Amino acid sequence: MQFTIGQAEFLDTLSAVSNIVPTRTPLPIIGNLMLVADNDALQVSATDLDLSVTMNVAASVDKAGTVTLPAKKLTDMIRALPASPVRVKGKNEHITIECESSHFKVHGLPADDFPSFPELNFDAGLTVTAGTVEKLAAHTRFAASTEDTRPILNGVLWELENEKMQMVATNGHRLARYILPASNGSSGTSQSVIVAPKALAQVGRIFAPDDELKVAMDERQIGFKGDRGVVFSRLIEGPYPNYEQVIPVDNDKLARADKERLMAALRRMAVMASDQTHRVRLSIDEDTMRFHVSTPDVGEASDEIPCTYEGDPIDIGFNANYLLEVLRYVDTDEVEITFKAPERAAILRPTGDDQDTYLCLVMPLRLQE
Amino acid sequence: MASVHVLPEGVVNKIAAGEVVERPSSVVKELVDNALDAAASRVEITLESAGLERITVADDGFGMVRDDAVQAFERHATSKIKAAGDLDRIETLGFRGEALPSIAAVSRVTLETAPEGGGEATRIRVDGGEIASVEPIARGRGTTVDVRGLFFNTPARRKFLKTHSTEQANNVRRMLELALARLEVGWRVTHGRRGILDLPPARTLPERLTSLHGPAYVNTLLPMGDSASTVTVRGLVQRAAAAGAGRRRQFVFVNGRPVDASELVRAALSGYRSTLPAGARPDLYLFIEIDPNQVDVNVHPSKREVRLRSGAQVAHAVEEAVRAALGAGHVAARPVRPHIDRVAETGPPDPGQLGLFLSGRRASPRRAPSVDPQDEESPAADGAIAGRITGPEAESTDVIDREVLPSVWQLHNRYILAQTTTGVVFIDQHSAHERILYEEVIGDIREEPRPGQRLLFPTVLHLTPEQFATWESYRGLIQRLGFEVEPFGGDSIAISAVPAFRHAFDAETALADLLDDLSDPGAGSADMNQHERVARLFACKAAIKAGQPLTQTEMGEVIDRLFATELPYDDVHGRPAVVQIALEDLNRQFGRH
Ligand SMILES: Nc1ncnc2c1ncn2[C@@H]1O[C@H](COP(=O)(O)OP(=O)(O)OP(=O)(O)O)[C@@H](O)[C@H]1O
Ligand SMILES: [Mg+2]
Repeated sequence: MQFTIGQAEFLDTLSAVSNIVPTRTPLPIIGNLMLVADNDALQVSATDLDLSVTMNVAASVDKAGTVTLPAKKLTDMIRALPASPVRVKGKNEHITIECESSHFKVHGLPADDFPSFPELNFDAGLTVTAGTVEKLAAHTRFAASTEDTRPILNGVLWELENEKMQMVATNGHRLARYILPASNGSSGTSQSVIVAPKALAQVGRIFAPDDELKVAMDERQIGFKGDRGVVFSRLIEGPYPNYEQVIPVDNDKLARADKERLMAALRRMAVMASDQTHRVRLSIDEDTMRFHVSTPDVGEASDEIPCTYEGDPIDIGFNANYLLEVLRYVDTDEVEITFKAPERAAILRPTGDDQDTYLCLVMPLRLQE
Repeated sequence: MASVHVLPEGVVNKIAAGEVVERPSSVVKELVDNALDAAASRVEITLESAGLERITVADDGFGMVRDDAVQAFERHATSKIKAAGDLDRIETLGFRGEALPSIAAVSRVTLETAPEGGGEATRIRVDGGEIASVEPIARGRGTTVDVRGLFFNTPARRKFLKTHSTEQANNVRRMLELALARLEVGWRVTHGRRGILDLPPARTLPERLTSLHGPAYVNTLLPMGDSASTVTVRGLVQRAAAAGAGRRRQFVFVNGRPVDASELVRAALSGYRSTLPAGARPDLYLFIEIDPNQVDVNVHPSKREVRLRSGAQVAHAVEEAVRAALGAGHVAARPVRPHIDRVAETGPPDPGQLGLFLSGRRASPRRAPSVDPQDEESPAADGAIAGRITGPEAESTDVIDREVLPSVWQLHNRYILAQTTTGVVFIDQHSAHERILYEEVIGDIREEPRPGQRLLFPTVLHLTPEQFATWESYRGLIQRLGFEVEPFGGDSIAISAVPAFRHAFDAETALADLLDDLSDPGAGSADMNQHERVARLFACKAAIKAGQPLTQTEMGEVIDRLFATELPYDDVHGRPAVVQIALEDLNRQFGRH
């Protein structure tokens, strides 16, 4: 094998791919990247067995071939080189890398040992832009659980229907849902899968927003394929809890407030909140949203911001971090929050045209008397 | 030397009546008491057939002149108190003038004594209470009392005696107590032809215990030193992790007098709180010093009971002292107490005070401060042990070193390793977190209930009938932890809120397990109350598990919060939560001295 590639392009490719390589692995081959040189292109692949990525980059290939090289060593090596053409050549486990006056000899591992990637039928898949996937994912994946008690909640539910597609994530305490009309993508079928957030993040990392992707799936795998490469991920097996049932439809108290002011007030409260529960109390009536925290042995704090409010006054407790996290993804200057009762879910939404696109639900913390 | 006189009638009446001599061990104890009261520096005891055949106690104390020796066999003859008021400030072991006549009445006694300063020595034989002969003899300093044929003239009494081995165990217990009360005295005890105790004079309690039970045993004990305004509690308490089952070596001394004081032992045990494994009984050496007029020793003829004027206060002081000793940082297998910042607030025992207690001249409870083991090479205890017990390096210098990056490491997803200024500590992540949660949950139960995080998807648990019944009876407590639970038909319950903690845990499983453990009456030791039981079980269920990877921040938090708890060094099951290795030890291992 022998190819030449610009140092910058090579480094970009290696960095985008090698981030999924686990730092410690019992299987040495997993710590390596696979490099396939063929037809004036270089393919760089990595896997952690759940998630696999291949990225394509143009290179001048003198001699086709396949090698695997240690991910971290290779990336560090290329990063340290000057911005000049890099020549990689060698066979099997003995590779040399040259750039200007620098000369490296690296040991690889047999390419045959590198895990093979799934085979999915992309022709039958759905077409969607990478930007759409990223938009759905970015607004929801933060809400997924990071605990291993209910693995299903560690994933993002992606539902595809004829006229719309949506992603949902929840950890059981808060939930985020983002809906886009189907004009953003097309598929013949209606399907739903549970995808690991890191797979969605990887899609955002290797594709540009305008890239057209083919998405294919079977019961176990999902694949995203574009000109720049392909991402495969093992799916999380369902069933996903029936979230629609828990989205309240009878919240009859509605507050609107400036998002930045609300976040600023919550951040101030968070300073005094218990580092275990992060509890802050909200009291809303007429045109004021009041905040109060009182933590034994720490102290108290209170603040208020103006708001518009319809409904009976309410007193409700929340984990301040949950509110702050959710507010970060509300894209409008104003936020709308609806309530029913102190023990029921509150719903946060953007205001204006996007109102029905995005919804976040936060379960309260019980207030003790 | 004090002269013996007969007490006036009024005083006699104040003295509790009753039998002084119940069994061989009573004789042993009374004779040794007398030897110690005579300022002996060495006591030799010879027993035959568990003392039934013969008990000989020889001392090198100040002895008696002939007349005093004769008078000593008269009832209520004592040199130790003179008037009723003296009973309020007794500083000697004897005070009634009753022991020698009582012993002499039921045996054949030979007393030989030579007075201090080289006067004429005397031998007196008393047979069943009758003086048989008084003759001058030649002998060296001190007194020897030889008691044969105990209960020869009261066969009924003999019948009440237990087997030889039980009687001998009693003898040993009595001698041991006194050997612990008077460290400066050297002891030799033989039973038949067998030497059973040979104790050189000791300067410190650890030194004496080392001669008795070896250094490994002494390593399981922690120094305790607490000086409240009126009560001083010092001594050694066993690490919870080393505590065995069954009542073992539990000794209480009040102003240097060994006493039976179950309420003080109980107070000490409550100082351990949640750290003791079920059924475990730690060894305790409690030395309480209190103004003698606060103590009434004259409650029982055996002098084994004392009445404390402010008993509750003393019990409280004992509990606090034990708690402080456990909290102030004993770490498994370490020669030096690590001292991690916040521990300093409770403060380790002051080595100076400890030295005071650990020494001991006779009689006066307010003893002259003795040789501190630091000042001189301690001959008996090896350096590490002496250092460990008295904690000479217990300055607040040993803090976890956050300057070194990364400051903490996780080992095998199980232990946290942190560098301290004098070495390294290993922290068991599960145990540590359990301890943290235990204290939080106790707070939730006793102070402010924990907020419950409402759940989007309420969980239904199908319980066994036992679990369901347990839930019903612990409902209030479980709610205070932050759970919101409602019956859900049959033996099922629906959980709609779970305790809000920063860390992730499976609250539903934790609740089911908690109910399981609570329905098992065997789980948890008997003297734990309901709150402690719930807190302990819940903490165990909700704590970070062994095997869970932790980030730097999480480890930092565990460390900070652990050392903010009251008992950071023990987990709630009585195992150590922290183990330290001193840099010195590492240096030694690497041959760098
Ligand atoms: N080994 C001894 N050395 C010196 N004096 C002794 C010794 N044994 C007894 N005596 C003297 O004999 C007296 C009587 O002893 P005895 O044990 O009967 O009474 P006590 O010690 O005064 O009081 P108690 O009955 O409480 O023991 C003592 O007060 C002491 O003066
Ligand atoms: Mg006496």
